[in-house]
Amino acid sequence: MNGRTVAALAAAAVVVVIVVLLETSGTNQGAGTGSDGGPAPAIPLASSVTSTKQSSVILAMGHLDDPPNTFWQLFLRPSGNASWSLSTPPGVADNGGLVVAAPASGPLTAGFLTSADLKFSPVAQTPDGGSTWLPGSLPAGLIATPDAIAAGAGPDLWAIVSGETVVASTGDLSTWNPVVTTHDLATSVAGCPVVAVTAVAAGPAGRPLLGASCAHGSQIGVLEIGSSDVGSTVQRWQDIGPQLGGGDSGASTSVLRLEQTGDGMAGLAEVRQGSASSLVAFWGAGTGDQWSRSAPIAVPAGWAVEATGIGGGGGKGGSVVLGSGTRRQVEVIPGPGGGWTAAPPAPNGTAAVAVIGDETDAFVPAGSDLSVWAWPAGAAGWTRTVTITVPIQYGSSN
Amino acid sequence: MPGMGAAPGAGNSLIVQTFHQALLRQGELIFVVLILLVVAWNVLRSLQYSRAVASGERFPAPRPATVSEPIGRKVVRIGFGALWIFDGLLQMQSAMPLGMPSNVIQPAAATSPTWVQHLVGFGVTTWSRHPSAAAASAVWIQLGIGILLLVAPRGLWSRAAGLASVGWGLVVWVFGSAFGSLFAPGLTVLFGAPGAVLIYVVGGVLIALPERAWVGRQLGRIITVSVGVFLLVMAGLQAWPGRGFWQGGTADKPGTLAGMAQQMATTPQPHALSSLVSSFASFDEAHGWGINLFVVIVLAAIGMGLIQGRRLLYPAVVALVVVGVADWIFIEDFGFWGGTGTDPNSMLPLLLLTVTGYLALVRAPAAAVAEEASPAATPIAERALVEGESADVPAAEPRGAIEPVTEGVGSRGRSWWERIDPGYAGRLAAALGAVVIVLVGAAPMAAASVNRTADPILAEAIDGTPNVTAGPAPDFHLVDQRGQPVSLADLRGYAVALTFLDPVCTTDCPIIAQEFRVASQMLGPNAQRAKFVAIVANPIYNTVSAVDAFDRQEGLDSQPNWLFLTGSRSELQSVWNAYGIAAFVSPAGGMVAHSDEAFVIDARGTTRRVLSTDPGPAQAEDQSSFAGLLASQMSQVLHS
Repeated sequence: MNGRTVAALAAAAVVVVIVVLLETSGTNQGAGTGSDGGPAPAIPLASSVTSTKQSSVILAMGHLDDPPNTFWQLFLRPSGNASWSLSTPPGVADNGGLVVAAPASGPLTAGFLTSADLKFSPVAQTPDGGSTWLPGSLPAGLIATPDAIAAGAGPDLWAIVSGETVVASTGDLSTWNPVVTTHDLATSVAGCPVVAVTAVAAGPAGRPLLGASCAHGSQIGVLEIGSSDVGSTVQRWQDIGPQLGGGDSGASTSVLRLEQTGDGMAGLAEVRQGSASSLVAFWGAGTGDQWSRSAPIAVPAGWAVEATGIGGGGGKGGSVVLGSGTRRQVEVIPGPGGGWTAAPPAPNGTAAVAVIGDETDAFVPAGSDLSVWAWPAGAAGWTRTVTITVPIQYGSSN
Repeated sequence: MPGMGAAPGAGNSLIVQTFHQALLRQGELIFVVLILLVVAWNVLRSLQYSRAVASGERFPAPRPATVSEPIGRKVVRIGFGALWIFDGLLQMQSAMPLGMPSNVIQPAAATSPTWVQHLVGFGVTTWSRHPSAAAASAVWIQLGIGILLLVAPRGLWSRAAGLASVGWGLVVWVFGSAFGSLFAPGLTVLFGAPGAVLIYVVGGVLIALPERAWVGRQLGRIITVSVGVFLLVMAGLQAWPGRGFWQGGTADKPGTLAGMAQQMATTPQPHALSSLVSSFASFDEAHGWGINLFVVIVLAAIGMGLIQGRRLLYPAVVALVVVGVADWIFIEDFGFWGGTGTDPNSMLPLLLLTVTGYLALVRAPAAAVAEEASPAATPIAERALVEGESADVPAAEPRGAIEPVTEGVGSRGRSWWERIDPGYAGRLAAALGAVVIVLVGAAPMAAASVNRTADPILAEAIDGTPNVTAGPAPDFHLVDQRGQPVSLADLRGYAVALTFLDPVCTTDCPIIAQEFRVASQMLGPNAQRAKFVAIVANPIYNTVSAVDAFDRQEGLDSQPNWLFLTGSRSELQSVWNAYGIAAFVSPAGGMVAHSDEAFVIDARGTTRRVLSTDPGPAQAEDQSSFAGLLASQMSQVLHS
């Protein structure tokens, strides 16, 4: 073999190695899509609220692997009524998501999350349980969290919009004023390095309470304006949330739900310590720092929170749906002083759960069909009660 | 309506018709130029004949002995000339204007790195904005290069043809084939690596070399060794584990090679050929390991044979031809079927290059050819170069000197047109004609690359041609985004573009709004005489705050000639009825469905045009095209 041949072989070998390295280095991936997700943890939008007036459930239906053909639906069940009815507000494509504020008294207010080329969030309000809807709009898009919008006993409304700004309205669904931003909170709230605002609720004093995601600390981030600062141009917020247990001190926390109940507040929070995650329910008057807290339930590795619910039981209950693949596990808690109870294994694909009195309803979507399964307290298993066919408008958002 | 319109198919009749019309017009221009060149040549011959008769000389004058063009150069020149012509004819396929980006360019870049996709995106964008012009340009450029290679056998014209081949080949290789998918996974010579057009570039380089480069065996050795190294690289890649070539197939899906062959078999083509390719795919699925082993051994053996040369060279070349033809038939499937095939793939040009190298090595010319003449050289010296005269032509002839060769009586004192060889003049005319063909293609392509506004024909392909009407536009009394009352009568004296938009729409309405905004910009100073008006097409979200929010979202809140009008539900319904607009609420989270139409109303309040505003697939070029179409309609109304 002469020198030319050796040189040729060497050159060929070098080129082969380079080509293989390039192929295996991942440089051949197509255009990547950057995530514009902010620092807030992903909180599932599927949710429920049960008050003395009604129960409401929000979940996604349609082709869940195809965003333009995924449509979020609102179902309502008035108190005392055994049937769920489709009550999705009309007039806007809701491929991006849907959130509601469903107070025990006053109208129900829904907000549409942004999707495709719609960059601000329309809102709609119904005084009659979904028969008629009044339109409005927010100045920006709602954040993707179940309690992104809240309604007080009166006309007051609050919402968390992109840019993590809390805005408020005094009843005009199209006129909103800024209240506070995450940035302001991050620099001013002691005890909770605020990473994101994750929930808003109507506090007992007619002022908003904010649920927050805290980078670390010894208490769950429930924020209110200092009483001395009400009406002032300079408002200082303070963390009045429940203290974490000793073992969780220093953990990062996120408020998943924060709702006004008949006589106070109820909430759900996720506590993360390293790779471990657990959920706690908490209740309080909503003023000061008098809270009670449930024992935590661990979120097993490989499982995630799929849906949350507030209400039921005695009115202050809570519920969560944990999911791993198609498997689902429902946990319910009746209220302060009670413990978490694991329901029988929920139907595969359960997307949301609602507790009405002593009965827990699970919602299983399959395309345009929604099956409702009931688990009465003490029963051995789930029973399908009804299948609702929803007129999903496939292709309308393509 | 919710549910965007579909993209025009590759065979859209309007686009195809426009493409053919462009080819016809350009063809007519080329024909006229060629006729003029032929006439000029005939006039020249006639004058020379007359002069020869008058002076008693022979006509044409006897030609001295010539030195032939090196055989290797001749093969590569004619071979690639024929290939460029064939490729130019392939570009005439009707599906090329719309099918080239979607069926050829984008798939080639789909698995390439992001930076390659961005680079290719420029080519896709340019082509997509001007599909008919781009497709026609590709036809003429490639035909012209091919013809120039054939009609200009020697000298500067031939070398220029080689350079043109290099230039256009590189453009196509980068922007049209994503570097021949070199940066995508699964690189293999069996599928076409390194890209057929890159081999055209190499051929062009060889043609562009001075003819003295073909003297001796050095060039031939370089070519054969280079091809040999390339084949060794391909053999190594073919043998490398984990790249899918050792597996013929699993129960679920075919292996890489079988899958490619199956895909090629599904291309529209004669049934006999698809059966042949499909049969090979099935065979490879069952014997993938063995076939790959064979391929690796053969590629490596041929590569070594080409590198070592001597007695192994001829068998290696023959083996490559046999294997190459088999690959061209059974795997590459000839490369040009399906309606958007752009070339016969890489194996033919690779074989051509290899044969060129072999001939350049074993049949290299021994004698030096004459020094090349400068462009200003005497036609006689140029003729010597063209005809390959012997070294009798003084090599030290100063560049630019006009010294006639002593070839006949009375040559002194003659004009250039009297002394030029008619054969050379004919080839010169042909070369000029070929250059004209290239320029007829290159000029529109260059113009298209800098014109950021897509052809209005794209919008017409999606939405149809605007309807010409002549009737009074129904009046309306609504309020604008600031709550101020506005009626159509208030807009007398302006040309009005009117449409109907949903302020909380998620898809087409924002696109239409942007098209209106761009159309206003395209009007330039005339925008001051125009109003772009939208009326709410949502019976629920009809508040002033909703339209204001939409305007701010779309950046229209500061556009002075933009109005977004709304009113009560009954007021809106009456306007929708008057304009024939449907708008109805969809259940279960669906968008409000409404008609997508625009009306161009003149300054006297007469509706002059009705256009569909369906954005189609919402590609950027479609939006640009509609904006241009709307602006052109508005401009016509403004000036009528």
